[in-house]
Amino acid sequence: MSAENRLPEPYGSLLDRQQPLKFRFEGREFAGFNGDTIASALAANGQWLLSRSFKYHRPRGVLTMSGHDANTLVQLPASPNTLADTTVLVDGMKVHGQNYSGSLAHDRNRLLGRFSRFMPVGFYYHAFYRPRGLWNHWSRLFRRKAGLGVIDTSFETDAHDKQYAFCDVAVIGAGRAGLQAALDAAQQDADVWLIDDQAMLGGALNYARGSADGRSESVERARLVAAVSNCRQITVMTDATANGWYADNYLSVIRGSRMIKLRAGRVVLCTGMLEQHAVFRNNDLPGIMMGTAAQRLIKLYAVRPGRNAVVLAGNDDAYGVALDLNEAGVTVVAIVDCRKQMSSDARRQAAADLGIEILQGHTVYSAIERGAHLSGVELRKIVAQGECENRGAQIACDLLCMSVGFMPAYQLACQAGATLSYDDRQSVFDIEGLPAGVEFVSDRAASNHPWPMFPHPYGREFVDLDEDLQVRDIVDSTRLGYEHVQLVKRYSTCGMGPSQGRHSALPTARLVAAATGRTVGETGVTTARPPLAAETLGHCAGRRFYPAYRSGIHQRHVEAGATMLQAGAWYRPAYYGAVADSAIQAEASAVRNGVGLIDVSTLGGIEINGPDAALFLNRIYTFAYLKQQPGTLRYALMTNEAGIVIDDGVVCRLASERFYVTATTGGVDAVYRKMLQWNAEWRLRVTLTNVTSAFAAVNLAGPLSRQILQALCSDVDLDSDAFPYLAVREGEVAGIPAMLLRVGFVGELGYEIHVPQHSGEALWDALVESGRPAGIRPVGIEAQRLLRLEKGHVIVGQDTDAMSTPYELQMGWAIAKSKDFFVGGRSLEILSERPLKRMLAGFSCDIDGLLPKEGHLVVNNGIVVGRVTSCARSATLDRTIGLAYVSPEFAAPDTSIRIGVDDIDVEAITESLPFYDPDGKRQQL
Amino acid sequence: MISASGNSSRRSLLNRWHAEHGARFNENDVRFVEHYGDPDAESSGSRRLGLCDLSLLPRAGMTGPASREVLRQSGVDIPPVPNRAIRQANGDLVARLSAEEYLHVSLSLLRNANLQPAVAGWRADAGQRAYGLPRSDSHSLFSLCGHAAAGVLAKLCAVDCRRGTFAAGAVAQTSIARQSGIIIRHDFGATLNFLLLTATPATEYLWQSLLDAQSEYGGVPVGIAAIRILNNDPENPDTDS
Repeated sequence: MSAENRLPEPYGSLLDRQQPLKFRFEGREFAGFNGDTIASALAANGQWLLSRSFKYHRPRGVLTMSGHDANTLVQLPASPNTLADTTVLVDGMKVHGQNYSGSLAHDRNRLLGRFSRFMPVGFYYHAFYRPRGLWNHWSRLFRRKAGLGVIDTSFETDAHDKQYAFCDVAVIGAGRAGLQAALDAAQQDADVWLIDDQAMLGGALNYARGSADGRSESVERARLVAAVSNCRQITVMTDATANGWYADNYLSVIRGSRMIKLRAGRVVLCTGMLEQHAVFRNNDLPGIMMGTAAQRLIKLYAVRPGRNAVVLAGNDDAYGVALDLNEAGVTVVAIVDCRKQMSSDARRQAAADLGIEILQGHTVYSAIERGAHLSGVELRKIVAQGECENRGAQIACDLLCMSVGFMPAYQLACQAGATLSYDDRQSVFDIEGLPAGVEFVSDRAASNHPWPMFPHPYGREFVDLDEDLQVRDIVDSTRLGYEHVQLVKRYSTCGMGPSQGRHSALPTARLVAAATGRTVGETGVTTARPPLAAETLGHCAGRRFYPAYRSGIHQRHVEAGATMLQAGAWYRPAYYGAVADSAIQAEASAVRNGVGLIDVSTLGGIEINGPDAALFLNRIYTFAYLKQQPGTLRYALMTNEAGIVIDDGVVCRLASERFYVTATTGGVDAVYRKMLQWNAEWRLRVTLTNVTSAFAAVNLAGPLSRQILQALCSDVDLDSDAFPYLAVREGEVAGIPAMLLRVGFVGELGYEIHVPQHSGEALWDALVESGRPAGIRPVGIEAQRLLRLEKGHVIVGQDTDAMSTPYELQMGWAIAKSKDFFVGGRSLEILSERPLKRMLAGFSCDIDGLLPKEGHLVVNNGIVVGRVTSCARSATLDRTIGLAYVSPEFAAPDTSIRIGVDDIDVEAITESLPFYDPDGKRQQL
Repeated sequence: MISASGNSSRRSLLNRWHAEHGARFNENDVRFVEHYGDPDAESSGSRRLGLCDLSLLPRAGMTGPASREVLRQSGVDIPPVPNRAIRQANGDLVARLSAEEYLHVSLSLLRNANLQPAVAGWRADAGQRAYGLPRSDSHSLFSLCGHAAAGVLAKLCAVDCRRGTFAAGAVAQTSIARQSGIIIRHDFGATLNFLLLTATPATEYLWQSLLDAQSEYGGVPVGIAAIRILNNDPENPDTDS
């Protein structure tokens, strides 16, 4: 197809004619230039039909050429509902229309328009919902008929991100007013951001014609743009949409695939005007567009918008449009001026001098369609507000430009708290009530025809093109009782489409005002909320930040073939080897029979220093610490005020006023916060520091662990008398400063070795090397869980829930009865006098049978009496073992219980804890 | 409390990343990346935008009600208010993180071609309520330098780090790529520079986040050779730390 409508240079200020592009629309190949939008390139090739309307599937084409309407929504492979009039053309682009049946040119659903009388506004509120459940059927049909684009859910999204930015002054809009405002602010030494959604600075100066000769705009634009370009303090952001105003001048600015969060000291809104359409029959046909749209096509994109044009005038800008059309080679058949009075504007005189017929006091009463395009208009003389003579004349044309009025681009101002007022006598708007630090600046007053609306007996005079709403739809809404403009919006969906009322707000307010006997000012417009323009989920999500923690030994696990799993932010080795079950059992066996090495760097660590450190711990944990001797450690159980278990660990007393406390991997941050919170109240003389990230730690466990460690540790006497179970020592391991804790979490002789984080890998290497002759194995957390389960140790968070008390866990031994106070103490005192409702009990079942899992229910005669919290097959014990909350009557050892596993009841028997080494002799070796 | 050793056991959590990207390590016990193969390119690149892993550079911390007095008696030049950092006479940096908490970074070692970090540490006498903190290991330390550095941070952090607003010596304890961290403005010569500290286990995460963010500006990873050159440049007039 040839570019039949392409104008020669100097038209097309946005085009780079040296870079021709090819693209496809509806399967046909078209040509364009770099700088074209999809719509401008199609228009240059004579393709005016871009889309089908939402409800009646009417043909639609260019209306504003500024992305302010839904007429140009097209389908791209990865993105539905793309605005063709603002989306820049890319070579090879594949574009389709959307929401049609058959073809875009011959949409079978166009027939729906013939039944529009049966589909008045809100018709689906009144029908299709009876009998009950029928709506589900109808809704599927409606969604097929009244949809927009299609989402390709398999598409890989582009990278999106966000950026924070700051400035003294943000100027939104880079037209004449915005350019000047930016220069003024920069002169006062402000750091200025100048933001505009167009590709080129200048706003309306780039296309509008304010004078008869049409030169003053380009001269002024050149002057202002040069000044801005030479000003170092102004950051120019073109192709950037200020999409929302939030408290304290926080602006969301969309530019490409990035959302910029801009904090501005002051905001100057120079957002300009939105041209409004006239309301008459068939005012939505392709070929009917705003006057400014035609000017944009001509001047920015070098596109002749038609061959024979009629200009509908409600203000003097219409004459500028006519002059531009004439210069671009368009025959202006007539200027139809709705005003009775002849204007004295020089542009009118210039148009008259060209011999263009000017009809005063007339309007376009209806538009005539042929081949899904405008083919002519019927003109009538206006006799009263919204009323015409009964007869008119028809004029053939393929272009109708509407220049009947403007309203301020008020959305950002109203988001900031301003109100839009309307002077009914002058037919002009004003912005009032802006907060401090926000200004609205306009270099021109809106020149509006007071009533460019002419209802037709056969309808099709569209008020809201997005939603196919006609005059009668708005009026009928008021007759049904929805008299407030906000209710009209909700009932009719007026202003709820993609253009968000940019063109429907004013005619709706006028119609509602007339129908309810109020003024337009009294009626008002609906609320404007962010975002101003469509915002993609990609923009909202931005770049995905998922902090990941890796211990200093992480790479050694990977090299050893570990399967890593994520626990919170931490990556931890689950097991080493290809087959989980055998690897876990082998690792557990190594600990029971030889020696294993477990990375426990994820354990939380908190230092507590100060004269009141012991007292502080005495209050925080359930156990007693005042008499704890330096060089020893004690179990630490933390409860909240309600006596619920929230964490556990060990307390190491390193010196009389110096403690090191461990906490669970997932709980340490909360524990540290709790400690800070409590001491803010208690004001004890302690200093708390979360040192979790400072240390790598390993648990060297198994009967051979002492001999492995002995080879690397010369300054600590590891003999069981010198360094007994539940003792802590400081020394060096393989030359690395270390803290050694004798703990028994896995139930064997073992040493938890804490070293500086950056030395973690060196420690691991040294222990592996030292333990190689003894067959040392790395052990993952799955095996560790099995080992601790054999010892009957609970894991807070797995074996506890939001209701677990120490008594339910059979851990009353961890509560110091003699203390005056500890957090949760009073609650536990009360609870101790009440019967338990459940208890955590050990159970076992056949190792070859079904394996109960966490969450499986314990049932008795069909009644739930408990649930499993942990369960695993233990090769060491030759049976499956687990922990489960059960009613107290089932908690006694040797009680038979049944666990529901996949609809099969598994027979189990309760056991006393621990399952393994009940005397604890192995860990005390 | 156990503290960092100055021996060869210490390894940055990015050691493998460095090696996989052609790092040439120095010959000392503590293996800093000297450069990644083209020290001249890194030197010029770092003026535009460079990212350097300084995690093995010795650091110390002290906290507690007596910490200020202990440090003052030790001759430390103490920032007058929290969230400020002051360059010490020997070129080291001391940042005040709260009313009672201080951070020491042995930046002076970067000037030394034969970098041999000693054990870092501030110590208080028993009974004094001032307590050493294991800052060499609790945090990783990166240098993000070059005139585009503030732009990179703007993609990861909500604090206004522009040269004109985040003055030399300013400290922000904030979120960087959703990870808690500390930002200290400490220019190298005339080159804008931020020291970034975050929890050591998040070292690789933050490194990758910064690499991703700086790719838009053509940023490059650099070794300490480039930092050393920057450090020897004349200073900016607005550098007050």
